[in-house]
Amino acid sequence: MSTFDNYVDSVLTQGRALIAATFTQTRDESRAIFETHLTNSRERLDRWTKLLVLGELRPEEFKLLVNNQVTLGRMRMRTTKVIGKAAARDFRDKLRGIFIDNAFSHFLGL
Amino acid sequence: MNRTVTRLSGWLLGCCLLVGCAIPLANYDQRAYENATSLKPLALAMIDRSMQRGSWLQYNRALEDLLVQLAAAYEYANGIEYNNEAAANWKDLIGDEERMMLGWATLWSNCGDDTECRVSPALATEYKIQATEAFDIIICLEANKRQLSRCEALTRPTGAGG
Repeated sequence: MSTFDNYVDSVLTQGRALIAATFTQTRDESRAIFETHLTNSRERLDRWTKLLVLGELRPEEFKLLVNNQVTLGRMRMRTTKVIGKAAARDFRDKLRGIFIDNAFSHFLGL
Repeated sequence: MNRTVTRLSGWLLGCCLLVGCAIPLANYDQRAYENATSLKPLALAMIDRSMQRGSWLQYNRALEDLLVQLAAAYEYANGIEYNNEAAANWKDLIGDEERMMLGWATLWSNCGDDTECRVSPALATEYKIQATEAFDIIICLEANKRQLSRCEALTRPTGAGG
């Protein structure tokens, strides 16, 4: 194989590994953040309903908590969006490094 | 060689698009991070106070100061380029008369001059859990702009009040 072929193989191998590492982690993290919100919402709504029935929460207080829970879901969604963007930026920066490092390594022997 | 170039060309095209294009995301901002971490304990302490009888008379000025600081944190985040999500999260944390900080403050302010009045302990307890989560969401977002990191606070169920 030529030096160029070796360079291409190295870049492809490391690039694929980088894709797997970066985006798998990001996908799992985003999923966990959203699933936790669903779990929290279910448990909290159950508890608030009981407190409302017992008279420990007033109706307007119950309404506030429910509105807040919807807002928290929206905030979590935005955060996962930013994590996705940050992952893309991280991938881009590391990919640049792979191209450059391999070029130095294969063509200049550094 | 030709096979190699063919293999690489499609991959390179996609990568070059990604490498060459700007990703619309603000850089990590230390001040924005510190706004969230410093205002969080102040807000949680204020929520605790709201369940004390007659607390509105004693703490309404301090609450006003806190709300001004939260508004300033929002304005700061909103002034940073490509920071739409973080700014929107600050705005949501502040809320309005029916949700989040302003919603809770509105219920508390209904006490007026009544020295026996307070926010119900159940509301204060439950809202404190939600406010903690809201600040953690903002902190997590800012931290991930610096370095991809796990947000333990957002993936640990706290539905049961833990």
